[in-house]
Amino acid sequence: MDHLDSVVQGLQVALQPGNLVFVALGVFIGTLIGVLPGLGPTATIALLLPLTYVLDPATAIILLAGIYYGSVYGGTITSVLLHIPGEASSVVTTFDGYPMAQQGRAGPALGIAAVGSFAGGMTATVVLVLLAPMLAGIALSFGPPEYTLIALTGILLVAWMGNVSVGRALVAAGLGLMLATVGLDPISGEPRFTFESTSMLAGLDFIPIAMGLFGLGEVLYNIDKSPTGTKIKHKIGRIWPTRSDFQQAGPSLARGTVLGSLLGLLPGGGSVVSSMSSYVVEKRRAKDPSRFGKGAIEGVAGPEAASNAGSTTAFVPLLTLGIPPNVVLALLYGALLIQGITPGPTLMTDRPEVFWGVIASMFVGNVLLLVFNTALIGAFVQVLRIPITILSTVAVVVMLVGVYTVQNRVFDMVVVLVFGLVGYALRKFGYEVGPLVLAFILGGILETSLRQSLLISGGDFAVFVTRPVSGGILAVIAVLVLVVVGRTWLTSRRTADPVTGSGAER
Amino acid sequence: MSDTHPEGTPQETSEAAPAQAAGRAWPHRLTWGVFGVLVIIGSIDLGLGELREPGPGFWPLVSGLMILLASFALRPPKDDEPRPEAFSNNPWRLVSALVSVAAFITAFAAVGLVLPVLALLVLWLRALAGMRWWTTLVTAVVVTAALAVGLVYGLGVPLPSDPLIALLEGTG
Repeated sequence: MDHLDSVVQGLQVALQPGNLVFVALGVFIGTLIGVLPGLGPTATIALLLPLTYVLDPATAIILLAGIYYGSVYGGTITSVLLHIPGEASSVVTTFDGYPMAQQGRAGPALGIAAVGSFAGGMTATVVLVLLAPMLAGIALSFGPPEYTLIALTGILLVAWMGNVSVGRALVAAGLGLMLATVGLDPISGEPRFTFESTSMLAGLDFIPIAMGLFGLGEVLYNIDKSPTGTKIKHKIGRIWPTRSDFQQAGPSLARGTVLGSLLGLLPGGGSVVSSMSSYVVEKRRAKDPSRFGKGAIEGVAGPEAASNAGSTTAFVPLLTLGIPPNVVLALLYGALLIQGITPGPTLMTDRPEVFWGVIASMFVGNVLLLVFNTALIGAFVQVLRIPITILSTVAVVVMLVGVYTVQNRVFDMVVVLVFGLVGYALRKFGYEVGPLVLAFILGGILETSLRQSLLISGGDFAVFVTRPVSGGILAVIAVLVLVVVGRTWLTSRRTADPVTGSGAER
Repeated sequence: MSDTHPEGTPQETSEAAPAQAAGRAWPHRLTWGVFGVLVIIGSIDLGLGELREPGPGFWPLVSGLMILLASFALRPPKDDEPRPEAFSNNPWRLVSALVSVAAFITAFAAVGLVLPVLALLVLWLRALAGMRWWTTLVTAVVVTAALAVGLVYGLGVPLPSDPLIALLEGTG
């Protein structure tokens, strides 16, 4: 099918009144939770997962995807106005967005961020339209060895690109892989780590685990802090940037869009890595790098364009290979599984309405978000008046009742409670739950494809090297590992002289 | 990966906190190491099979080895990596949140949706969120009613038998 026909077909799905309402709802919720520092996209999507049971697959994913990219837009608002990133990819926006607000230029900072996000999001959606069918075509020839390696790369890259050290990310990932094995062995049918509990025979379900780790874990984290009020000190003023702002920020917007679109495609990619990299690029390219950190508009424009482009092209590996490249998309992957749809190369031909409908909805969503983040920004800022504890309370009740409704099992509520505590503790001890959840999702794919690969090859690991595609993937992994290890070694040698690091332990 | 972070960003310089925020590595290494070993023992117990036909314990063994090996690489966080925090700044709030959720689950299984939801909302909104009494009661009643109506009548979700809903429907 021709690309244009497919997009038109997708737009027909996205523009159905029902779906239109859910795109709008998704990006609206996304912007709201982007604004609220205490509640991120992962927690919100986890909270709404049970809802996908009652919605049509395309509609459900349109809603959840809208929350994801909407939150990337909305996260900017508090970064600029309060120096508090609404979600992870907006951390970079605080570097120059907040100084701009302090100089009385909060409006242009928010305006250029919205325009940058729009440019990045729209361009990346076009990239998605062009690239996804091509990659899906290639992926059709993939067998178990290729899937093993891609899933493995995904976990390793997420571990490397996270905020915590590789060791911390890998133990969390290992725990995720282990938890994925609980229940019946997919091949021999033997129970594993069930401790003779019948409730655990079916394995641990993804929804209660995600809800516990992200939802309840985050709520407990907020509860443990004393509630503090938030007050906006800076006036927003005129939003639309001036012509000279556009001239100054234009090239950064373009570079950010290209960089984000590319980085989003990689496993482990997405908005966070894209925005960070764009900031580094902009600072290095600048004639006067000392302006950065003091309110340089390029430092807002580039990363914002990159983060939205990256969050959009990150859908490519999910929709074509069935490999979620980051944690939020792992939740979307789970939502598709709930609907009985396994994302992968056949999704485009088997369920074109889901595939093209979701992509087309992004065009609609980005237009809505541009309006929300320019004309309606004053209204969204008002939600900051609501104390986070009140929202958390309602969230907890909805979460607990919601998880029960999925399978009508009280056991799932207990799982939420247990994993809520696990998520809370991991965060308090300086770990990230992201790699755990991603490994939990990919664990099933990894185990099955690895065991199938070994069955095919008669126990010979050479199968991963001799097949051209898997050999190629392996070579890329090897190069990445060498580069990372090499750079770490070099930096540690450069900074080794003053022995201060290990002495500063508590 | 530390090299994805912009160099010399304002974040880093402002967070050059004194020694108080670091953490010792050995308790982490020990905990994860022991856990990894337990997983490995469990996997061997399940049966590893052979390479040409891996058994049910084969993959759990891989995860156990990963935990064990990664535990050796644990070190105190540096630069802008998140640092361990005190387990609880507010133990009373944390414990009451956990206990009330546990009580909620037990009550939910016994008497259904309405009373436990109402009680949990009142407790959290009043005690944890510090709302005034009347706003607490109004919010709690509205949210409970919305949930009950939405789930029972809107979506037709089968909830544990609820004496209050039964009473309202005149079937109790």
